[in-house]
Amino acid sequence: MKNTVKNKSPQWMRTLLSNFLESRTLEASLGDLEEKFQGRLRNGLSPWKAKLLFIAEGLGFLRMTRLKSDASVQTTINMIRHTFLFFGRLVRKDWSYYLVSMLGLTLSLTSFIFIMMFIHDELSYDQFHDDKDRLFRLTTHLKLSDVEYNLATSQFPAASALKSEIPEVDLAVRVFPQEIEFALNDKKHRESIIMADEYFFDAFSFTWLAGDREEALRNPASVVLCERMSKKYFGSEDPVGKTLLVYDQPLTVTGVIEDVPKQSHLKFGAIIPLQYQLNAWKRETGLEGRENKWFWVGTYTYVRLRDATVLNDVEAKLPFLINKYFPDRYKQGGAFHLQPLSDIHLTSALSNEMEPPGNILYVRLFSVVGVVIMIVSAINLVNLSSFKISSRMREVGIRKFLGQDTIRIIMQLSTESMLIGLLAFAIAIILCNIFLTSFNNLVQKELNLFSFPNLLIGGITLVIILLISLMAVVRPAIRYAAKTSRTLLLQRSGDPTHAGERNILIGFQVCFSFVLLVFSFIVSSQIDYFKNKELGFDKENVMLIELSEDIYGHVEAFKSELAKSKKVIEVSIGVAPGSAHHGWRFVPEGGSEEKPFLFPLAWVDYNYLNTLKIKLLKGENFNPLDLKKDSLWSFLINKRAAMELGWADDPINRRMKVFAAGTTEIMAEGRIVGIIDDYHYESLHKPVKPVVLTLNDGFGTAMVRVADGSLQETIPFLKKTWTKFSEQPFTYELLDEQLDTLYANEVKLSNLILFFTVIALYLTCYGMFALSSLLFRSRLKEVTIRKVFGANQLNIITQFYSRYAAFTLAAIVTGVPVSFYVSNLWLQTFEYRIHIGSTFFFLAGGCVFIVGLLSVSYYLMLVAFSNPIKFLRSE
Amino acid sequence: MKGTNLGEFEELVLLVVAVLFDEAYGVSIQEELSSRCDRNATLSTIHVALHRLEEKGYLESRLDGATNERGGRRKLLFRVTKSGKRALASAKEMRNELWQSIPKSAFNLSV
Repeated sequence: MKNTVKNKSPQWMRTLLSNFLESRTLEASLGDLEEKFQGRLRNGLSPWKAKLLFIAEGLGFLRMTRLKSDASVQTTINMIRHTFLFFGRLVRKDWSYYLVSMLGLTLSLTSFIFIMMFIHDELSYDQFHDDKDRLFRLTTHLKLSDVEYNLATSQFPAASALKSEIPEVDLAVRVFPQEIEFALNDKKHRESIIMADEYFFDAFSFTWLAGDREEALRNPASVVLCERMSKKYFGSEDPVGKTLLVYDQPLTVTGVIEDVPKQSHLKFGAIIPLQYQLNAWKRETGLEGRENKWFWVGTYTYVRLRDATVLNDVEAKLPFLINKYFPDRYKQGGAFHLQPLSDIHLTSALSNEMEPPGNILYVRLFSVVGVVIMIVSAINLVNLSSFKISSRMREVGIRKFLGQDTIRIIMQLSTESMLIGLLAFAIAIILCNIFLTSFNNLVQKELNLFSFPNLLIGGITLVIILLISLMAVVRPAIRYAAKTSRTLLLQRSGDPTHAGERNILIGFQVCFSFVLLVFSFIVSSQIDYFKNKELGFDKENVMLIELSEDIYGHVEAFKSELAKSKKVIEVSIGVAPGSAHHGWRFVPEGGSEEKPFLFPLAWVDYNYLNTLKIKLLKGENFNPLDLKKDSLWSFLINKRAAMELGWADDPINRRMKVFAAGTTEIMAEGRIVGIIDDYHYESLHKPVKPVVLTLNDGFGTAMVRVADGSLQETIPFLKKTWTKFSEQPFTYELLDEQLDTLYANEVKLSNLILFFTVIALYLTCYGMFALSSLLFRSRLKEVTIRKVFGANQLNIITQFYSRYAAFTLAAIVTGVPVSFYVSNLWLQTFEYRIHIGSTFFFLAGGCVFIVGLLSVSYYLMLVAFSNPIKFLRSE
Repeated sequence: MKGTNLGEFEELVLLVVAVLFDEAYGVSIQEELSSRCDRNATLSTIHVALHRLEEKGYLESRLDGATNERGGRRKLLFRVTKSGKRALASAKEMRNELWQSIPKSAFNLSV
């Protein structure tokens, strides 16, 4: 019995075919299929194969499907065709209106998609780790001589202390970023890498391509490469087991991982076990390394908790660690905190971040801008289509008269509107593709339209636009479609009942573009302010040349060689302003070693002040001869440092001791030779901090001041001199450009805001323009009649203008407090900021006012200067 | 309405139907095509061709000959009509004519 069931052809296939084929074909095809099926079974083919072939061949018959000729289907097809035909005619008849509204819709959709992509990218940082909810970063907060330090880093021994003292801590991993030169045969490159504890890959989920995840970081002399690094050094070969040279020592490649995702705050090309670095330090100093002390806040510590709910318990236990381990001078006001991994990119405001973080303020700002742009274009669409439909009243009337039912009319009108939406969306996607590279440059990201989340964004945008275009017509469509054809045909066109509502909507747009414009003015003048503010030194005409190691022995010769050119005015070697100045601990004479001062220290040569034109207030400049007596250092301190030390009046010749970094030992003692004026060696986001300069024969960066206007001509000379001393390639930067990069974030914001301001302004103008065209058309007759009765053109123009001017002004006035609030919010994040003067508001208000009136002027003039006879006759 | 010229596959099917005379239906045509012409066509492809030929008036069909093997379904048997015969003949004639018009040297040269 079982056999017969097995040997039957699939019943569902037969049913399927019987639904689609007409009876004669059905009879023949089913017979033929069955015959072949039985034949195959007889030939010994296994039943399931025969069934499969039956199904495959059966599906082939579906192409013989005959559509049942059904009147309703035919009607639908006709109707769709009719809709397209009619739509085409409408567009041809009024193409300028459709072009302008399509352009507005397209622009707003494009910017909406861009904004959403940007926001999504910002919000998705560090979301790819499996344990992201349990991962935290240990942050350190110190208060030293009344200055608060909020640091993203923590001390080296903190990881093991956390692990042993707090049972809820599952894993504690240290990460120490570095730049290291890798070498393989003749390939030599500097790479930014991280050094990490063995358990790094247990905490963070990076995708493995080759190698053993568990064992990869166990041996100190190993390295795990990212895919692109592996390609760079080994090409397509399997790198696992091969060796790379790091400072002439071999490291075995133990694994390859996929490149780090763009949305990771940790970015690196390779990972080396931290133990490797610790061993190296031990070898070099021969001492117990400074990494075992609690002074140096030099590493990133990441913690995985047993689960996310114990966070509060763990936070409560952290002060215990402070008491037990922190050196005395850190204890007062010192604190540890656990920062969730996903907060790092957007909401962190800590020093020592690995990469410049994003800003939650910008994310919020752009979400608002994106939504408002969408709302504005929705308003325009609703406004215009309700007006457009009211001008098609007769058409609707005739349709009803000829027997089209209400539902069909509503469907017809909404299909038309959705077609516009769909078309705008398609163009927007094309525009997105074209401008994606420029947008990526603008925001310095690598967004891709056709990756998973962004496709979803596209999909959502499509749904939104379809909903908006539906919304725009449904209300007026229902209103008109429900009326009888008689009312529709006899009623005069024009529907002024909603004029007030429309004006408010347009006013909202004007207000929005005004706010954006003010904000963009303020952002760009704040950037100008940054770039032009007096810094306390002269940043113009200075070239920076990063010295390489082969020059260090011949620094004086190099300098005197450079000074041979007439164009070179001064040369100094030291730390350039704008680059990192590290803090050192100083003990002033009479002060306690328990309470040292933390001051940034810069090693510079005797020419530093002259080259950068920093003002010496008291005492004297460095004396080159002081270098010889290495027992006593010379210090120059700035005004701020003198104040903090309490020596503002008479600091000259006082002594200070310096601690060696990370230890409790005094490294040297020095004498203050002079006070210099405060200068901004950091970005203007922060107030001027104290600084100590000390004399050195010079290492770091060569700063070359050249004669005004001769930057370009001196480059070949510098290069020639450089090649006499070094085998490394010659590179240079300009000091003022280097300082400008400190404000890259603000420039980025300014560009984006400007871009959206232009779009918003366009949308507003187009809204006013299109609406004025429709309104004036409906008032043509009134104007002509007035003209016939002797009204002059000036009269008519002032009447129209005054109405527009009134509500534009009202909108602008409403925008003033809003824009003041937003700009102030942004400016508060800066230490040195511009004053929000009334000029900004007058300027932006003037712009919006004039642009708004200009956009209504075209139709106004058309009506005002028209020949009355022409229009009267048309009725 | 539809064109009346013969496609290459249609011509083959039409010829096979003529060869099989009174026994021409889906499966037999398929077998004949694969054994004689080395053409493997699915049943549905053949039925589509048959249907089109019938629309053009080159074939006529009747339902007959139910067997147990076919699950009690009848066969759709085809026979070539007069106009079908004419179409075949004219196709053949056209080919012959073309063959005869080839200059002798054409094939010699090309080899």
